[in-house]
Formats: sequence, structure tokens, C-alpha cells
Amino acid sequence: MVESKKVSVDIFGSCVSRDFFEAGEHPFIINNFYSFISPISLYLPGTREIPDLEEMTPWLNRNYSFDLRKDLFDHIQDNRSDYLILDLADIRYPITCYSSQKGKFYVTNSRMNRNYSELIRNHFGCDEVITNAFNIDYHTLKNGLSYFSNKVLEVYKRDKIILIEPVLAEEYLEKGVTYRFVGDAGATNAFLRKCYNYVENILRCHIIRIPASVTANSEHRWGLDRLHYCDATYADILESVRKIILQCKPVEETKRKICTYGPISIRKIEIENNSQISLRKAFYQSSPLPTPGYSIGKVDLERYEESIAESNIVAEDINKSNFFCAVG
Amino acid sequence: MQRILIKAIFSVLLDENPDYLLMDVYDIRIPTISIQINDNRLDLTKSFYWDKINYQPVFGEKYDEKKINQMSLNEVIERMERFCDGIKNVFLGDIVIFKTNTSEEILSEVTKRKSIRINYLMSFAYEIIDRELMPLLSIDVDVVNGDLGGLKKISISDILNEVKRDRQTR
Repeated sequence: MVESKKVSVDIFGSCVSRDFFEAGEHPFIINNFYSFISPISLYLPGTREIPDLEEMTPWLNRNYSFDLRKDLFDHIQDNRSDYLILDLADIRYPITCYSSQKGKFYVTNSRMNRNYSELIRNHFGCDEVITNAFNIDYHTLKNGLSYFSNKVLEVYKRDKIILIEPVLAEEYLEKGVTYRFVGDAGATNAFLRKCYNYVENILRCHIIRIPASVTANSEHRWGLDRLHYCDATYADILESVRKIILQCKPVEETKRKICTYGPISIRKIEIENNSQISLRKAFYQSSPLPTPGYSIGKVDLERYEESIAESNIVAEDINKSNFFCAVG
Repeated sequence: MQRILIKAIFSVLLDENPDYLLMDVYDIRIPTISIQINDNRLDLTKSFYWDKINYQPVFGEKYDEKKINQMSLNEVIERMERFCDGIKNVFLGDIVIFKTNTSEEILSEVTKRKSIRINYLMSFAYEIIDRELMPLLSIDVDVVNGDLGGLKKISISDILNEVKRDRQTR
């Protein structure tokens, strides 16, 4: 593909996937930007009936309506671009459940819902229950992400999807000095990693990972936020996207991966030579009973450092761990 | 020489991102150990790798060893629920479970009684995994006299084809 030809893209995701397009010159036209919508909300029941939304911008109202009606994929299908830029950072938003006599419907509790919550409750005469993203039922989360990914694959081929994986920055830069954000984003980032992992394995598309060491920028045009990165990060993302699109890169074919846990699992299976499966790690000599929740604080075992080295054990963080053998 | 990692299965699942996790809880038979210093506690499997370290408690360290048949049913259930929570916190992929039916023909009566209790507790562990992780496929495996070397192999392709069929019918 030549540089001069314009390539159209749709974005589904957070501000990160919009902002990197500002990081330099490029031949891309952004057709649609869908945001503030949790993929899980799209899997849950919606409502066709929506009161007049007037207080916010037309773009925010449109996104909120897609989320309430659950007709986003119809719009994506009818307005498809050459590529889809996808990021799932908005999955961190809580999910709101409205229960009225007509039934229940769900929507992402992002800024639009917080603004329109009273309007919706008054219109339907209903209650509102908000569930933190971490507390979404395991199977709803899994089924929701599976549904979302498969809907995306109905519209875009794998090599036309670029999955960007933003993480919450732990540090920010202010006038050349690095500061640490108050509070720890570790749990949210682990949650995001879990969701990205699952979607990666379904979509098997182009992937751009944001390093965990990413730094936020206090002078960002939209203000300080853990997802408002420094310019260099956006420039790197843009460069990766340019390479994928302009070089028409095919998606790298990789084998499906398995891990096994327990002595039966590894002994029972046979992996054929020409199998499209690769065994990554096999755990055994590991009881499920001493789970990390039972280890508290730090027990110093430094005096066994030498024995650990002699037995060819690689100690990572024994205090958070089970003690087991892993081959792979 | 193989390298032996000391790392929680949970962080490995997050790092390796497997499509499938094939699991069994046969190692639930291995005793657990606990080393406590003041309010700090380390809970581990007493694996043969641990034995090689020749651990000896020093003054101030409280060492405790527990077999599953010394645990109450409630304790086993609570620990298994925590284990499943750990998996759920890091992994959304497909799970295949191998459920072991053990029979011990050459054991003494006393050992047999212990074994019956272990199997009874293990069946609860499998029930909790069924309830919490809802594996896509469950495969029964007969283990006679602890002979794991004699297990008949199943092709991984056959297992995963079965998983795909099962997923489509759900």
C-alpha cells in the first residue's frame, strides 16, 4: 500500500486509541470513534426505549445510546472502515443495572450514565445497582468477552484488527520530574491483562502492548490521568500502527497454547509431532491447598539460598508462591 | 537439567496466556507445610523439591506439616475456593478437568481407610472446581495403586476437538 492512499479506521476503545493519532503525520482517516462502552455491557440486555438525551454532546449521547440499545455492532457493520483499532481499557468501568417493572437493562457506568442516571431512573421509575468491574461474575465476564470478540470477527478479518492494550500508569511526569500516583493500579492492570489475554486468544489479530512502565503526563491536553500518556508513548503506538497497516502485515500464525496442572494432566496427554498445540508449562508436585491467600507477609529463607541454587531451583518470590515443578 | 521454578501457577497463567488449562488435583495428596515467624506465614506444598532443601526450623520459626486427611472438610472447601478464585483472577480460557477415580488394591486396611478419606475429600475438591470454574470438558481417569506411569494416553487433538464440540452445544 502506498503512503499517499488514505486508509480509513474505526476506533473502539479508550482515549489512548484516539490520542495516538495526534502524535504525528499519518495517512489515516478516523471514521468512527466508539468510546465509554464496556464490552461486557454489550453482551447484557439493553433497552430500545430511551428518553431524550440532550445535556451532553451528540457524540457522547450517541455512544450512550449504542450502549443502552446494544445495537453498536449494527452500526459498526454498516459503517465499516478498512481497519479496526480496538482497545478494551473501558472494561474497567462498572456496569449499571436498571430494574424496572418492564425488566432489567444494563449500561456502562461511565461519565454519560453518571450524568443521565437520574433521568433514566425517573423515566422508567426504576432502581439502579452498580457493579464494580472486578465483581462482575466470572462467567458473565468470560461469555461477554467471547461474545464481543466474535461479533468483532463477524465484521473484520483478523489481519484488519489492531488490538492495543493500554495499562494504567503508576507514575507521571511533571516539569521533568517523575512522581508516583497515589494508590496502586496493580489490581486493575492485572484485571486488564486477564481480559486482554483472553481476547488475544480469540481474535489472534495484530497486538500492540503498552509497557507496564508507561508514564503519564501532567501536561496532557486532557489533564492528568493514568491513561493520558507522554508523547513518546503515543509516537511509538502510531509508528507500530503505521507499520502494520502500510506494510500490509499479515497476522503471525501461532500455535494454540496449553498449560497443565497436576501429575495426571501431563501424563495423560499425548501431543502429536505435527500438532498445532504447544505445551508451555506443566505444573506438578503442587497441591491446590496451600494457595497464596494462606501465606502472609514475608518469611525469610535466605539461609537456603545455596541449597536452592544447588537444586537448580529458580526462586522468584517464594512468599507469594506455591512450591512446584514447572517444565516447559 | 530441567529448571525448577518457584512461582505461583497464577502468575504463570497470566504471563503465558494459554488457550487451555488441563488440570487435576491429584497432588492434593501431598502434605502442605506452613512456616510461621510472628505474624508472617509461608504456606507451601511439601514437594520432593522442598525435601531436597533439607529445611530445619530455627529459633522463632514454627513449622507445621499437615496432610489433607488431617484437615476438616470445611478447611478443604475454603482452601479449594481460594484456589479457584486465584485461577479466576488470572485466567478466562477453557478448562479441561481430569477427575481421578482411585482404587488401592494392595494396601493394608489402615492405609485403605486413610485413602478412602483422601478420596472423599478429593471428590469435594472436584465438586468445587465444577461449580466455580465450570470446566468445558471432564475426563474420568482410573488410577490403580497410584500407578501414574501406566495411564493410557489421550491425544491432545481429540481432547480439544471434544472441547470445541462441547462449546458449540452450550
